[in-house]
Amino acid sequence: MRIVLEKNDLLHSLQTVSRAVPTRTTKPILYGVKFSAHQNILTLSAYDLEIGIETVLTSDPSTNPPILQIEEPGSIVLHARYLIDIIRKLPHHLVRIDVQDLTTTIRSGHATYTLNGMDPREYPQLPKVDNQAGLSVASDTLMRLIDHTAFSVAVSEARPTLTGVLWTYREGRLVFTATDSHRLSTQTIEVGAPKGYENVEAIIPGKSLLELARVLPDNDTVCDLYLADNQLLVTFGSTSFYSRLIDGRYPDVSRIIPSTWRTAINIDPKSFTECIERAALLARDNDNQVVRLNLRKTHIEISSHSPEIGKITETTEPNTFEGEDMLIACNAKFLLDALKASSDSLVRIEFTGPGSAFVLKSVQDESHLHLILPVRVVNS
Amino acid sequence: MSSGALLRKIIHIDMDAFYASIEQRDHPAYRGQPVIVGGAPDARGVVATCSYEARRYGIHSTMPSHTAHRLCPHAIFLKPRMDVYRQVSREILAIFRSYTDLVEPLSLDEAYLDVTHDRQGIASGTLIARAIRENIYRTTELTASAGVSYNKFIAKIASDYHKPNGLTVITPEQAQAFLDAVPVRKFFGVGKVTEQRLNQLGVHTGEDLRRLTVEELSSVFSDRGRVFYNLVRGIDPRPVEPERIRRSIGKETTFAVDIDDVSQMARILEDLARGVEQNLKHRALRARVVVLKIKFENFRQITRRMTTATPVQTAEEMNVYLRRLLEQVDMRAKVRLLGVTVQNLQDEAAGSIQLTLF
Repeated sequence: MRIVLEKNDLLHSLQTVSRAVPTRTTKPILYGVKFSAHQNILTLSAYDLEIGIETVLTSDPSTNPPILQIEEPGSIVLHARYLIDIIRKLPHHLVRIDVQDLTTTIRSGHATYTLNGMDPREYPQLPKVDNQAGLSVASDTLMRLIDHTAFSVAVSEARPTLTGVLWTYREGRLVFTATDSHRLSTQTIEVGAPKGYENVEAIIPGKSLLELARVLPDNDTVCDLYLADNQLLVTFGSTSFYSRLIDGRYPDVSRIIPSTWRTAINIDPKSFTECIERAALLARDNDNQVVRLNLRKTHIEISSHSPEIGKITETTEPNTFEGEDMLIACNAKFLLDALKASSDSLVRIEFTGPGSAFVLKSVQDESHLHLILPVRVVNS
Repeated sequence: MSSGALLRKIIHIDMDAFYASIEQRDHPAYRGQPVIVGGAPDARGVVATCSYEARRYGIHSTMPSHTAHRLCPHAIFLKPRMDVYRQVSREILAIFRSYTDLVEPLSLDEAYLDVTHDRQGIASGTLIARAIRENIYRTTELTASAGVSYNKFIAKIASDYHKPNGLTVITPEQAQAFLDAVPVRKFFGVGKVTEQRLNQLGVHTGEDLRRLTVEELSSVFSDRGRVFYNLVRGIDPRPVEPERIRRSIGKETTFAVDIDDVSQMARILEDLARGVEQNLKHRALRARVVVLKIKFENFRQITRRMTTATPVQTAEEMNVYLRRLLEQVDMRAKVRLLGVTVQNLQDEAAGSIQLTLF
């Protein structure tokens, strides 16, 4: 293989695919990024057997000078972390990569690196996903689906399905749902689908979606989403993102969201977030990071205490208050995560009782909501 | 047994048939009757404690309740009243503390005391033990047995020597003869399997054990071998630790025949978890970490641990994690030992409980 290309193009592509390079693995080949140069296409790919990312650079003869020249086709696997650091520091804007057997020479300006490559025949093949029937969604909309839900997946591996986000497509609506059994987040979007695409369900690892969100462009680039053979494939621009799916039954969450409430407040998420953050400072060492909300018609009292450190009390006034007074305790992190995912100027929180789930949603936007279960405080 | 260092005075106090005695104290009709506190005979429960009248029928604690029922059909089966037992335990602990700060409770009904320097200026460990026993009886109408010696191991064996309502003092001069006569199963760390192993080596008593060299013992029992070697010579430097905070609670079992059936392992782990649950409930604790321990037929030992999403206390809660941990183990060899341990313990009342959706 012999190629010449722009340093920044290579760096950008490497940074994208390296999201699929594991930080720790028992198979050293997986630390690598695979280069394949054929005809006028350079393909970079990485695959840790959970997540796979492939991105393509094409040589366009019409640009002058051409941004990619493939002088001799071939392939090689190079250690991703070293390679990224090397490329970033190269002195010239052009890079030349020469591969003889597995020995790889990288030249730029007066710098020459000679690296030991790995055998591309040993690198795992990316999964094959049939890309006939899929959904098309704008990149920033897909990011919103992920940002508003993926933080609620379970961290513990005790129930594997809960470490994933549930994907449901039904009647023109795509819904992402995530829950760790203590809280739940959902986001719905309306999207057209090809004929026969109905009642589609899958569980996508939360970790995969968070990596996907990092490589998605923050604009309306079209993303095509395909589900097949236990794999998710997302293509956008010249990049393809693969993730395995989680096997198993997701718990039935359809009847979990309460339809009535006893106390409801409308409040500015920004100032409420700051109140909760102040109270959380004394809650971070206790197990459930408990903050208490004393909801009264006149004001809300937010408090928290740590037996060793001390306590805090703060009052704030919601924009509106409906219903009865209530005292409720919950995990500060759950509340902060949900508030952070609400970008609107006003959120509505509906409480049904100190021992039941409460709902946080946007006042204007019905498409997403967060459900949080309170903490029962045993003593005092 | 002379040494330059000051000889310690250690008392081990063990309440006699604690739960059963409280029931007989509170219900005069039960006095003189075989009383069994624990699970009901028709359920899967086990005997927690039984009165001395019941012990005559061969019933002992940890025996399945239905077996106990078969041995003594007219026995009185009672559900434990843990709140009452805990309250009595607190009264007894207060009596201990009036003599010394160095009190190490082992459970609700058992404790070590170091009275080398007692609070009330009583020079003799024997007199202190006698005073404590009298004091317990005056306050609670319950009897206790005590062992007095110069280390924990001998004190503990001595308390068992004249049970119930006994006091046994073992002086340094008497220690070796006393230990020589002790059956090996009484040694700390000796369970059924180790006992069998020792019996195969022709070791049945302390005297037999003392014939083995430290090398011989270490080659069979590794680190434990050295402990046995010292114990049988009256050497046990473990201090009485008053502020001993339990870092973990565990149960394990070694099989007479190695097993390779994973579903059988899962059932055994459930049983062990039930034991851990009982222990956690007795101490009013919850745990944040569940650990699975496996020893294979080749003695290779592994542990696998998982932090729990919320603090666990019941066997059911632990089983979710144990099943996951068991799945992760590469079962290439048969298993000779399984164990369940919980760590990162916390007071169940101190915290808060995160409610769950499903």
